[in-house]
Amino acid sequence: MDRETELALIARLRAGDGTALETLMEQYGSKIYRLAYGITRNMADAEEVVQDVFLALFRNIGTFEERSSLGTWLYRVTTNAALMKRRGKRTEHEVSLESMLPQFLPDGHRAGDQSLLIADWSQNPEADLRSQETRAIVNRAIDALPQQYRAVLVLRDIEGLSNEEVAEVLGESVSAIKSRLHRGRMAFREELTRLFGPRPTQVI
Amino acid sequence: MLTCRDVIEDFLADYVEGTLSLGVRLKVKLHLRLCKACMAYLRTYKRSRELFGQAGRVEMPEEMKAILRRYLHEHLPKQTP
Repeated sequence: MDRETELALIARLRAGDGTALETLMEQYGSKIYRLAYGITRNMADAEEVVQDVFLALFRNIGTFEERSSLGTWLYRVTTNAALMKRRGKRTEHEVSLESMLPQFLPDGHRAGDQSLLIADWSQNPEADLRSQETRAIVNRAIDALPQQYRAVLVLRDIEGLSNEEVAEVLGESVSAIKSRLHRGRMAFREELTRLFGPRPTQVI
Repeated sequence: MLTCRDVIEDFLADYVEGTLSLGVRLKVKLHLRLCKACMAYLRTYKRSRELFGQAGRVEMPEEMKAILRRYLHEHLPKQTP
């Protein structure tokens, strides 16, 4: 959507025209849903977040500053709403990211099982999402990440925002975002290596 | 010579983005050429990023769109005259 169209829609919303939301829903609905689902990993929660975001958009459009982009504003509201959604009802055990990161020896080499350290499963036909089983494995690895990390990974690696844009959305420094992005990717890779990597040979 | 820890923790993300200075980039390249474990790490790191992107690229289900439309119709005023 170009800037002019966006501003015209904002003006309609400000005038109390709810039908402008229809257009915005077409434009941003899936982006908001992807982010909400990516953070909450729960369809019912994501649906509620999308509803809340569109109502908030309609109700708070007066406070929206025109110099910032509507996309950034929507991503910010969505991220906050999605993070709040899981707070309080987190029954599942959430492990700290530290325990999911690669470990190193004092000399700077990586610690751990040698066969896992050199495991290169990147070309492994198993690691192809067309297989239902692989999709389930990848989804399990995504579920295992803490949600603040999922938020950054979704904005960066799915929505394709730059580090600077993600920093603006989350109201944090670029260096904080870069660090969280890298740590999140490392933890996700570690999880996948555990799932795709070599398994102990089974004795039949 | 960089250690595996230097490469993985400090430089890998920028190496993949192509934003390292030439000097550091060459040091990382040299390490990767000599270290099988870090080369495997780099390849699986990139592949993990792709898999995250592909798995997460979901669309809002049509049914949910319809529910959202109904919901907004109920909760929002119609076009003002």
